[in-house]
Amino acid sequence: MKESYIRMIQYLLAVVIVIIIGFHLQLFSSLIGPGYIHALSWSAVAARMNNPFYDAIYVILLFAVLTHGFIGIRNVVYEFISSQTKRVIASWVIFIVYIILLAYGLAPIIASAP
Amino acid sequence: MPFAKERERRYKSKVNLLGVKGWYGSSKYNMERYLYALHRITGIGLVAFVILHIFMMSSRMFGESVYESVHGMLNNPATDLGMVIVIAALLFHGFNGIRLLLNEYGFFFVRPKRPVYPYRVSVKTAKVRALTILMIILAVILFILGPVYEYIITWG
Amino acid sequence: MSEKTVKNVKFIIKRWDPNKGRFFTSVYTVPVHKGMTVLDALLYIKENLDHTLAFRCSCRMATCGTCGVIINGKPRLACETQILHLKTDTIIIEPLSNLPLVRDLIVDHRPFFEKQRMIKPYLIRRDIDEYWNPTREYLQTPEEHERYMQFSYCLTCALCYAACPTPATNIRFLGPQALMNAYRFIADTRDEGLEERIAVIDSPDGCWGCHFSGACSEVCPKGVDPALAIQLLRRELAKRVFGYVERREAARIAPALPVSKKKITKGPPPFTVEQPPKTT
Repeated sequence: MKESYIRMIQYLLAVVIVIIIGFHLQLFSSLIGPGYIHALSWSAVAARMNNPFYDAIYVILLFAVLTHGFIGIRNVVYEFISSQTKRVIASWVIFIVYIILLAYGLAPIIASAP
Repeated sequence: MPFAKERERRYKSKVNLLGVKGWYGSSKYNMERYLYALHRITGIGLVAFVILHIFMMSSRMFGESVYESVHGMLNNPATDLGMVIVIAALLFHGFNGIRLLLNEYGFFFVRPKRPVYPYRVSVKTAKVRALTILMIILAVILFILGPVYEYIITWG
Repeated sequence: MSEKTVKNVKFIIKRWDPNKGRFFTSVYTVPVHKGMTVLDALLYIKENLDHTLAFRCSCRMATCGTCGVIINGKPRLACETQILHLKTDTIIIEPLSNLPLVRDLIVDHRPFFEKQRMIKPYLIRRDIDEYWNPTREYLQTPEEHERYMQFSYCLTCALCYAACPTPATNIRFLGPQALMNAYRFIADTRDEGLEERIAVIDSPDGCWGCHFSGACSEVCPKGVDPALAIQLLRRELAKRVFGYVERREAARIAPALPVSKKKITKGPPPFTVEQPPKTT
């Protein structure tokens, strides 16, 4: 895929993240204060997962953050490697790690889906 | 001649201004260069945090006891500090990213014009600089309204 | 010289020794008068204090771009930098960064020029006959000229390449000057060569290697502003991603002047100004 397409995907996902991150952090409640430990307890998370709105937020945010972040890591790694074959190898390694993390992150959401 | 005097006044004021505004732009380079370095560092830090967060939250699928033991590790005060740093990094990366999105695609930018001395650096023009300062101020405000406010309320 | 010495300034020059493969520092004290540039000081050092100091200079008036060095941490042209305006008693001079070192303050500009050649810095047109056997000029309005005129004032002094943070780690990065030059030709209405250059520009070492730190525009001695050119170039590439390909007709050649078929039979009109008397 051409580089401009990859960067455009990264920038569009950045917009998606900026819009959704407010919901995930629940910026207007006490989640990002010291109360975050209680909001992450088993019962609180289970209560949120029953709500399909939060499930959708989790899936979209997981995909967006991982894709945006790993395209960024790929950009940084490309700047340190000059050989084209090494760049392709590094790019595939990053892609494999990305797929593994995506699967690992989606598994509990799918497992606890109603 | 009035033109020579005007040019002298503008050049002199540029040299003096560097001393007054040296806090956000070092005498060597402009502010945006350091913002770019910080954007990179926060980006890598956030990816590391996201990987850690995925591993922690995905331990749910192994059952409640595994999740509780992982979750119990969060109880030390180092994680409070870590959370504040992560929120700060996220706010900085996000607002700087919005600034980059707008500027890198040419919004708020100036048109090319003939370079007449004293030269105009497009990064330092009014609209572009105003956007940068606005993003920094928004990030600081949200940081204060978020973690700082909450921590002051719980400790104070 | 009849100028009065204002003060003595210490010059710490970081020089490259190619035989030993490392830097060494030389310290000199130079009497400075009003209006003295760093290049004047270097020439004074070479003439009076140390004949072995090697540096490049040519026009001494900020037109050729040869004398680029790093003065107190920032890339500048030595012929254009006034010592008294730096407002310090110690001046540290180093060779330009991101380029191969040759000796003392001299760097090799060849990688920089090779990258400039990679983006094909010449007009590319489809009308081959007119291109190789030109008959007339191409038409261009002043507004169309303004779109790229600023970027054509470049000296190719490599100060922007030294100031940019990306070539510090990515040696394949084209550099601000090459990308600005590519935009100069793409924005030129006389040029039809965007497709030929797009493969080099649309890559991680081309336009997308720029992260908008703006240091290139900060140090440019001619106010040419490579950062602006690269962001406008990015805009062109982004438009192509969304399918908006600008189909503009390239500037056509000027129409031929009409040649009148009428024979000129009448002589010039009579004089209206009083003529001196004929002396024959």
